[in-house]
Amino acid sequence: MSFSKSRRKLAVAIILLLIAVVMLTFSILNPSQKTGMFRKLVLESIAPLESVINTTSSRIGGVWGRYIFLVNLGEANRELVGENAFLSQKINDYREIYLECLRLRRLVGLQGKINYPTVAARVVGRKQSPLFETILINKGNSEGITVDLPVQTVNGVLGRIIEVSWNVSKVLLLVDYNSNIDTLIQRSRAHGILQGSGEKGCKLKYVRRTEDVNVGDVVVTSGLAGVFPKGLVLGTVESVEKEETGLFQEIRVSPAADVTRIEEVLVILREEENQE
Amino acid sequence: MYFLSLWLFSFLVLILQVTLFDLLFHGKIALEITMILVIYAGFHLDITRGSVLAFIIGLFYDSMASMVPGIFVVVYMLIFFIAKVIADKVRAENAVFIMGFTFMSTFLEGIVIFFVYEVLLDINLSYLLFLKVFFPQALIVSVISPVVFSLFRRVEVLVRVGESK
Repeated sequence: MSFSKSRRKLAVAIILLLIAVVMLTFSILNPSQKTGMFRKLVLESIAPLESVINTTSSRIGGVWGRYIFLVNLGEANRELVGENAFLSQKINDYREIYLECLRLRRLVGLQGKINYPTVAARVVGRKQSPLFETILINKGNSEGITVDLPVQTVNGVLGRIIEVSWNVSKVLLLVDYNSNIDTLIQRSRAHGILQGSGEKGCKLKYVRRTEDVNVGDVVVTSGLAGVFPKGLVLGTVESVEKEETGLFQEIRVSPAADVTRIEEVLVILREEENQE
Repeated sequence: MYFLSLWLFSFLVLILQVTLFDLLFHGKIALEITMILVIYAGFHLDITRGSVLAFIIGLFYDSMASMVPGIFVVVYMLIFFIAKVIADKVRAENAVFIMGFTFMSTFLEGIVIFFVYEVLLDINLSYLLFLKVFFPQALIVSVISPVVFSLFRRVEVLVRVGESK
């Protein structure tokens, strides 16, 4: 009796392992599958929680830095420091609002320059694993966002949407190893594929040895793969190496968008999405 | 009751992990408490409870952080099975043993992820990344693992008391 019970328990565990292997195989064979209901629910739940925890912790950090360490000073001094901390916080709040206004003004300016409809969004979650360069933004299906839409900052392309739930989307940054973007060197029109290299930025692959590429050249989207419109700035060439053998050059590209300091982004809606 | 509370518990542990990871290490090293939880499950829970726990935690972590759905479910299930097999053969209570096993498990996770990327997806990851991400991660996670183990033991006692009532 107990033998059959333990076998049943083992069978449950093995079935779970098989399901896991099938899930992984399916996701490898179908890389551009739609966001499933479970993933949507998790995205919807994590975004507000992360946002609240991040805001609270940064406020606590601010109070700790300004106030707690001064607890042993005299009463009068304490009052003054408290008042000072309060005022500093106020100034800091106003400065934050002022800077946000400036950023939004630049973003609105950019919105006018792009010939596509766009949606402005705020970053609510940063990368959740050191291996994957992704962020969460606070706009989703309800704003017309779909998978594979380009995401832009004031300085240049940031990445593309890879998962969408109702009010949250996940953006794959162009520095992620999974990111591949069809590109052109703006000056010489040399063609290549920009692949993410994590913290090191990006590398431009498949540019032939004979092509004219210099340090400082601007890299733009080619518009060929159908995800990014043509001519969006991706970055600048940081280094060019031509080995004695080999068909292609080794080119490092520094992204135009600062992927470590993003607060607001623009999602570019393609025309067909807009018509839908 | 156990299987219902598992969903909430797994989700909370992951939220804590993801937030701590961003706050403490600025997104460079993952404080993978979930890995320690899966090892704990392998050492202390029966095979059904433990495998369901590993599956659910992997599923949540995949949905939150992974680019390749299913990868963390497979990794966590594998680590759970290895821990289970080892727990049946040796007495896995020693802090040094727990630390060593956690260190090796984090490395195993790295190897599986590299295998999936390099061989199955044909995406070149830098080998330096392995040293820069997985080595410090394995070190930190293994150092905190005995403390986290004792916390999980308390939670397990509470759950069992609740169940017996």
